[in-house]
Amino acid sequence: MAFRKRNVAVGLNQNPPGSNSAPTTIPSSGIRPSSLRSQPVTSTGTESLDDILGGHSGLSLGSSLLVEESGTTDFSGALLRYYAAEGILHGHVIHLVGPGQAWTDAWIRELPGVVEEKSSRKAEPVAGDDEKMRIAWRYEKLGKAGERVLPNRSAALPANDLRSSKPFCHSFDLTKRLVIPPDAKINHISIAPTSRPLDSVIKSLSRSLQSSPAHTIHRLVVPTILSPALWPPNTARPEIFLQFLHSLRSLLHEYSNSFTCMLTLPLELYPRTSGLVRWAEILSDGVLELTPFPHLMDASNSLVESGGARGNDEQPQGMLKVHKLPVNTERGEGGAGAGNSMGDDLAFTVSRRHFKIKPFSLPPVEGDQEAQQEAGQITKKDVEF
Amino acid sequence: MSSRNRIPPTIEPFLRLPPETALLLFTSTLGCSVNWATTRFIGNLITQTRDEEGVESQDEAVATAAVLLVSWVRDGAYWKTEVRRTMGVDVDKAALQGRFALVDFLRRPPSSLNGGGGGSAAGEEALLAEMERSIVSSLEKLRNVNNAQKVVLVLDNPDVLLALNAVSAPSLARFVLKLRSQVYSSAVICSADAPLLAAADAAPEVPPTPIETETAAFLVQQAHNARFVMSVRELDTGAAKDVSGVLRLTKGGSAYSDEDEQQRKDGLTELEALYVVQRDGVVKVFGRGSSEGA
Repeated sequence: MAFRKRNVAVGLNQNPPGSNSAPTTIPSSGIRPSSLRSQPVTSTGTESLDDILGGHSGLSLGSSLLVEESGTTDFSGALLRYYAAEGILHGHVIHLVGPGQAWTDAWIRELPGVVEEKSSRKAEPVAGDDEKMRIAWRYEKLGKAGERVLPNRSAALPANDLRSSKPFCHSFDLTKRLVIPPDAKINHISIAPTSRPLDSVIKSLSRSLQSSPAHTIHRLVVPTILSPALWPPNTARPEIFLQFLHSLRSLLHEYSNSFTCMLTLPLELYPRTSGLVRWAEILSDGVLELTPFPHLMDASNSLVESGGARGNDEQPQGMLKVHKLPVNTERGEGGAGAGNSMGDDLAFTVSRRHFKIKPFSLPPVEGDQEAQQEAGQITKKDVEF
Repeated sequence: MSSRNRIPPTIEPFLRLPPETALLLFTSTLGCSVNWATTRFIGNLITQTRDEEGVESQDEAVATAAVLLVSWVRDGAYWKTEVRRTMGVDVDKAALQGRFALVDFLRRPPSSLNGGGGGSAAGEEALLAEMERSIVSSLEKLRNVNNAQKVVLVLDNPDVLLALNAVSAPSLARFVLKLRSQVYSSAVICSADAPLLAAADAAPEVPPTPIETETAAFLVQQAHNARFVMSVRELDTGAAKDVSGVLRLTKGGSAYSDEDEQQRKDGLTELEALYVVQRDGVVKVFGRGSSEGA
């Protein structure tokens, strides 16, 4: 397989003309090829979320992600804000849907800022890279063929080092405010309480997608859809809501190299057992469900104080379930296959600096000294069946 | 690699050309898509006609078969990549040979669908008439190329029309029946998640919403009309790393009991098995308890 011209020193020409299979995707910032197929992916702004999206290490362009949340908390809103902020940092066009210009302005103003101290953190991996032989980086992190578990690629993935200094995925600080660059392309779409309130969204979207140049990446952000606090009551009618998702799906397929979207849906009024929500899930490409714990676990907090095994770990704030993955589920893989996170017990932790998703494990029983000591050494991964 | 090897032998008899007027029903759930089977069905029909060896095991399928795919939730690009990925069949080439045609209602929705006529009787009639026109014109194009070939109609998720509240279940069923009368045999792909079927329960816990009633009514009716039902669902115990889901093949309501002997000979027996779809697109079907790939 001669994928590189001969007689050219490897590493001299990082972007040889003609040898690149997907030249159209190169100019866009925040885009890289999926590690599983040629389709480009973009970051959701949350590194641990990128990692659980079926091994593509990002959200495939042309897919939508529906984030559902039960209860009255707004953890999904944090994910949505990271997604929007990541887009702004990469110069993507953000389409924000909300009840009015004032509301969307305020939402944009509250986007989290980037964590500083990046320069010191980045210095190390770059130094390490030079020593490594430069094989194509997307194969490098694939591991052995047929391996069941994908190796952790967050460290071995300097996707940015070749083309720009911008990282693929930023870390955000919820207490900071993002400085919106003056040239940020933000399209505010207001919902009017008409008989078909969501038609205007589709119209505005398709107009913008049509008129923008080919390399522009678009992100659609839809906060708490169907929530009666923001949306007109008739939005929840199937012919409006599902029609909107169906048209959106059509747009996503049409612009499958430049468009992604993320929606959040509160489950309190529209449970997952209803036909409406199930159809919404079928029409979306990826479905995540957040189930926050009703109250922070007091018992485990006391465990921290008593110096339990998880002392330096943050307490999970809820469970995260993956019901559908973009691309992989449509292919029928289900939970099988490396990196498919369906069926995993995942928990999430939101802190000032990060939104972390990791496998959930119960803390050892208080007072069981032996188990607590051992817990430090044995992790779930080590146990062979 | 011949198309034979890409289809697990257990389910191969089900993916051959169905007998005249027969209906196959494929159902999927949210986390388990049945597309891996439908792409194989489509690819099998397109290639079996070309493949001289395929003829000998299939007395009836000597005449060429063609596939007319009508898609409501996936577009042409998707089907093209997936059929090539799973079966190594180029549908564009097949289309040029008049063996494949696609009516893409996702990318080119019927004008009456987005017009907002949803629900009203007049809007429903206009929508169904418009869709029928496009389907019939594609069908005629296929017939123009080769009038002798047997056209198999594949309807991909027509039940989304019920969710969009564009048509009612009885009219959609009538629509499907009308289309079936114009082709050799047909297949319908539907979603069969528990919430979409709950309304068919004898005593549902919560009163069903109209959308649930309609989908349940349509799905149950299709299952009664089908000769075979191929359904996939998640494992009852949750997802596993080496199993994609459960495959269940059962007779539909219109399978005749006097055909039993012949069907057994053809390998068409009811079964429930596990399957795994690997990342490279290879599918393995195996029984519970037996090791993968056995």
